[in-house]
Amino acid sequence: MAQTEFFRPGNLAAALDLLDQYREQAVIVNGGTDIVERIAHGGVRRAAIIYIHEIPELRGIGEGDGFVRIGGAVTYNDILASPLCCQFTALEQAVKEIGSPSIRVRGTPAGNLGTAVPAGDCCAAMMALDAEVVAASRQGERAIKLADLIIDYRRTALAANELIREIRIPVVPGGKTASAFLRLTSRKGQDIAQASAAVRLTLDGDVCRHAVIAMGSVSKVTVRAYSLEKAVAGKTVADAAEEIKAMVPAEVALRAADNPAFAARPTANIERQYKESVIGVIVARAMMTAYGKILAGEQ
Amino acid sequence: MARAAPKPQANMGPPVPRYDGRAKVTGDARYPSDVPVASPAFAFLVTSAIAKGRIVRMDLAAAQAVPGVLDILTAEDTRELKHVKFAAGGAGASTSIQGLGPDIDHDGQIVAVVLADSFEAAREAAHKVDITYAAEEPAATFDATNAREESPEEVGERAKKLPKAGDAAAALASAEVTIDAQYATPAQHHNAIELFTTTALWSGDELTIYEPSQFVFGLKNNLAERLGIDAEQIRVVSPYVGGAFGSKAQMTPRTALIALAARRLGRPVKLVSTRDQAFTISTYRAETRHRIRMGARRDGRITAFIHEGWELTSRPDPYSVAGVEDSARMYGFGAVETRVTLVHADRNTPGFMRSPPVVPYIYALESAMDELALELGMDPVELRRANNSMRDATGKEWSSRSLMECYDEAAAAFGWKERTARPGSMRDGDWLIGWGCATAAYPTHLGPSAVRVRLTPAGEVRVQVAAHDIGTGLYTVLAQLAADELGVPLDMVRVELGDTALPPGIVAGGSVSTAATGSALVKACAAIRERLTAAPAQTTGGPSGNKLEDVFERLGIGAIEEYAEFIPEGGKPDAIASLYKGKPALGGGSHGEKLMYALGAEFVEVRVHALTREIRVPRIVGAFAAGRIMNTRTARSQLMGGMIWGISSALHEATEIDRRHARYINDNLADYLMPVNADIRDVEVILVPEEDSEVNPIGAKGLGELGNVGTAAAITNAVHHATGVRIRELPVRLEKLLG
Repeated sequence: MAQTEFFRPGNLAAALDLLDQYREQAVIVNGGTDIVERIAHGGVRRAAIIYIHEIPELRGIGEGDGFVRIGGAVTYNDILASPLCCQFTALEQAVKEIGSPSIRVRGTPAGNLGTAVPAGDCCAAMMALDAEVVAASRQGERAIKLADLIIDYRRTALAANELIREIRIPVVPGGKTASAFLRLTSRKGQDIAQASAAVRLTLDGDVCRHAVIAMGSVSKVTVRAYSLEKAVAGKTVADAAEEIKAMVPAEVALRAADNPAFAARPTANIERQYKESVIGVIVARAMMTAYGKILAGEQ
Repeated sequence: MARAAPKPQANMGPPVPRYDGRAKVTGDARYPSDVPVASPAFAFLVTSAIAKGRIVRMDLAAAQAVPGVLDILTAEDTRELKHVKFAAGGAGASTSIQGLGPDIDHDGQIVAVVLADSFEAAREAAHKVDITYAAEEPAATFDATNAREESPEEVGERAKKLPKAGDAAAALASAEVTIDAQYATPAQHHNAIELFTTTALWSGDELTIYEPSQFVFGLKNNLAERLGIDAEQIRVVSPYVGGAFGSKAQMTPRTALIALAARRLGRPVKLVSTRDQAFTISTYRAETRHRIRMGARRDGRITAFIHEGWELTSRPDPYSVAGVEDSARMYGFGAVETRVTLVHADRNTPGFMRSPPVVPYIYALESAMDELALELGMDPVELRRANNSMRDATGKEWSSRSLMECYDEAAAAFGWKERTARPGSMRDGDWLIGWGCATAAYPTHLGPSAVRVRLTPAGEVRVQVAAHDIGTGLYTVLAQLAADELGVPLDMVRVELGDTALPPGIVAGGSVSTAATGSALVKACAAIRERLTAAPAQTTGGPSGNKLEDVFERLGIGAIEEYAEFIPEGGKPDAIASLYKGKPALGGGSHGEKLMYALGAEFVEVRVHALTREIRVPRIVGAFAAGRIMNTRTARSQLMGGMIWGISSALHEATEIDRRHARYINDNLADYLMPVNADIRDVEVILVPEEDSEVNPIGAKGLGELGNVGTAAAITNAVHHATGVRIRELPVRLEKLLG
């Protein structure tokens, strides 16, 4: 193959032009915390590297139309410094768990979603928060719900000439709603989640009116736990949490055949048993954390 | 900061701050790969993708076409390098697998070296070297069908040198209480933050090597042999080492390749290998297995101890740690029998890694002690007390032994008496609490060293020795010792280490540096004092005061420089000459007239979640006795770091091996788990005063390799206490506690 060319477009239009020109032959580098390693080790080779991290239009955080809007090149550190973003406890908690300070100063939530690995901490948090992304190309823009964006292991619904311009999280009035993210790791930091859960809980008195539950690291993609959401609806939080603890949600899919991320590992069977036995506990803990937030009068 | 700098007790030196601390935190300290050289070429290693077989074809065309590529060394180009005999630790070659093929003896074997104008070009080209292999099925580890276990004759030959006393089998058969248990420890890699680097610079026939090393004189002499040149043509420089833990003690194959490349190019060459390559181009701690049988009387006295070990090594090299040498002497056992069997597989050759023999073998012993205590219904501490003895089963006496003092101090600080014995009986909500303890031990080695000390009239002192501070504190304690011995302020002392232009020091291994270089330093300082006192009381018209300047003036000299050599008692008279030739002789431990060990006791609390089985270690207390403590701050750091490594060994660390391909799976710091700060909570280090005038002139036993011994057993013992589940295979992973 010919030499790889490196582009640093100065604005969004220039980036979209390049993407349109190179399409499958291009790789987007944003924070670069995942992709640069893959490029350096020869796992990803393309004719064009398009570096979008410094494009001004992608760097903002704002509010409008009932959404908090997070630009495609906004970093984890930007999120933690933003009261707008930190109103979403699940997002704040997920971002705090990611990597190390040196990763968080570079890495981006949009990159986390675009990479689409099952352990992506932001993916679970964003899914529970019912987020969507705005995909931009020269042909225009479209909004994609997170559950529709992540379609397979390291695969998204983005077209070859699209990039994530913005992430939108709907603002839900506080008081009766709160969210939480929690993960289980072998050590306490700089580790990949064995299992993770994000919950957005809405109460009616002491009863779960509505819960959105997302799980990471228990399938080839981040998944919504509809079975648990159904199981908890209409129950008191304490009862619901107790019931969830012992459940293996139907959405957990850890059979090797379903899961390329999992297939080659010699310990796959032990990992499966372990993940199946703890995911319920993790979800229950996340739910109790969100419940605690509501009781404490926090959003 | 009181805890970081414990108040010195009897026979302990003050906690002066680290001599090299400021240089290291400000970036002023230059590690070998930081040293700038003019217009270097950059090297990138190409390593084998199979573990066993042959290279059939190597296509270099695409690699050579990468702009900036200067040269690519393959097996053909390196035939002139001589083979250097493998030496099992200490010095010499780390492996006898030194060729670049075509035969492949392990995964990740160096098969080519790409040289280019930039690191990026070298790496790019290395990825483009296209190799066709004829692969054979490799033996990955224990139980592989084509692994070769030593024959009974080979095992019997080794057993002759291992501890044996009485008729252990008979004693076991007639014992009132017995246990029979098997344990396993995994492979581990050193994973020092500083990677394996080499910079080679020729100036005519003179070669300078900048490479992180624990023994520059060893590297110099072995490299000379490999290159077929006179050792006097080589200088090796390594003033700072960014972590080594044993991995930088011996000569690995890369050094000669880089030196050869620099000679071919007529230009300095710099190599900084990658993290994954570090798993295969140097050594590691190999996996071990153990079977321990013990017999005891009802009162706890152990009458029979049989310890069998199995150790993995490479196909050609008989690397062995044989820690039964230590486990069999730890207590006053009645009768003892020991055996060690090597198993050869298609792997790179293992080597020294922090506390090589005692980490796996004392783990097995201390786990078995806990199992026996349970069987006897005895408190684990009391079982150690019942078998505490100043003599081992062979009748050898200890020079000093403060084990029970360590147990008593640590137990008191920990609150051990509140423990309820029954597993699972201590609980805090969903968390199961377990308390466990174990012995830490490290043999006190003895080694020779030379040193040069210079004193000027202004009171400036310079200490020079080619020993190494691998993060251990040697700079600091030598400065302290020199200041003390010569009566000058600490900031007047300059210490120079890690350069073959200096007098030779011992390998930074076996926790021997402080004792060896310190003992030589004390001699040199005494000689300087003697010359000062020899000054005439007064000269006509000259100064009569006692100020250093006056004394020098009366002596009529500008400076005093003394060179001294220290050879430990019982050492060979040519020990220093051997050191110059890169051969360190280490004695002591269990090998001399007396048993010499630094000892300790570690107590841990674990919390295991009843549902998820998450394991936390909220606190660990260790009490240690190691003869004279030179500096309570650096000593505490060493011991604390050791205990943290012990926690890591118990709960996180293991090199995973793909059994089909004999390759390491988790060869990066994301997958090779070590604890982060948030995993480590309260770590308390207690220094127990101890005096031992027999070990060496300064009375220091050495403690660099003490803290990480026994920790894993203390944790598995605590896990059993919490859950009733006995983990006999490290590390303890959550999934092993399920069900």
